[in-house]
Amino acid sequence: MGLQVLVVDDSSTMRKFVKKAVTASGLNVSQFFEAANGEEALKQLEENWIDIIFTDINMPVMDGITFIREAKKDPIYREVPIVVVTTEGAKEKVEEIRSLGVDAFIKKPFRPEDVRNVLLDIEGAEFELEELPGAEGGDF
Amino acid sequence: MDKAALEKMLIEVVYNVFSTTFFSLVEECPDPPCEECDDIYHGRIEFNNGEWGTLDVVISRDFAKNVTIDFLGKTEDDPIEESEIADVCGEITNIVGGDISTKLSDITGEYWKLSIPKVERKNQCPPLHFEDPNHITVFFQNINEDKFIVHLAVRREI
Repeated sequence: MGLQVLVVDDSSTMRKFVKKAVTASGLNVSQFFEAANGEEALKQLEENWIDIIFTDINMPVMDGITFIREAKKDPIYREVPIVVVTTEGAKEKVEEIRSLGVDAFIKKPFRPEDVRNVLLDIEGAEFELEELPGAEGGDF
Repeated sequence: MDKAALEKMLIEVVYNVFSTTFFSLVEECPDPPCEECDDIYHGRIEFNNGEWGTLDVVISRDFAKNVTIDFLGKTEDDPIEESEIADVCGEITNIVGGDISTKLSDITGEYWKLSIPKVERKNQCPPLHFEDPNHITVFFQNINEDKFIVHLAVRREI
């Protein structure tokens, strides 16, 4: 059975790009859900079963850090793996984000294959990724 | 950090962002793209509310449309919304600004906070704060010679 994936980013085109990259990674996705900020993301979590979250940090209304803090307070949502996809790369900021208990970090700019590598590295999640044709590790 | 080093950093960041995420090879070009300034998108992002600096990206609408088509995996015949083009310009500004902010944070040891990027469609080139003592303006072009401008103004010691 495919996974239900939540993509959180204030840029609709970046959400499309992340969805394409996740699909290309070989992850078996049954449905994507989208949110333009942390507030919308929390609503999506309330209304839908989500297996993994890809979230930006720098967003209006509710930023990614606040969203992750809120999600981690909930006994159910806190178990959902979170992959942060962000332009933030300053050491201090990355440490702050990692300390929230996120499972993986992808810095923009990124290549679609980076998504596959990150999914393979998430401890305890053991996502089954389809073999990609053409190259080991993924040829996009 | 001197101006030449700052310019080198900016150029490397722009090359990397365009080749990695926007599937587009760009290079520096000597001439300003003034003839293409009648229909442009202007993206701006601020560092620490503009107190530490700003980054501007000025890109012709035609070039922005082509980048959007490539980014979204569309063809020229596919419908494309103006909002998608604006959104991609915002993301270019955001990712270039984010990479610059990361590098400047590492250099100074202080966090260069990014704003949310603002994007506007305009019919003339915006004022780019050439009066700032520490500013860099670089003209770029792709293989079709579509041109764009990246302007970085830094307002504190680095």
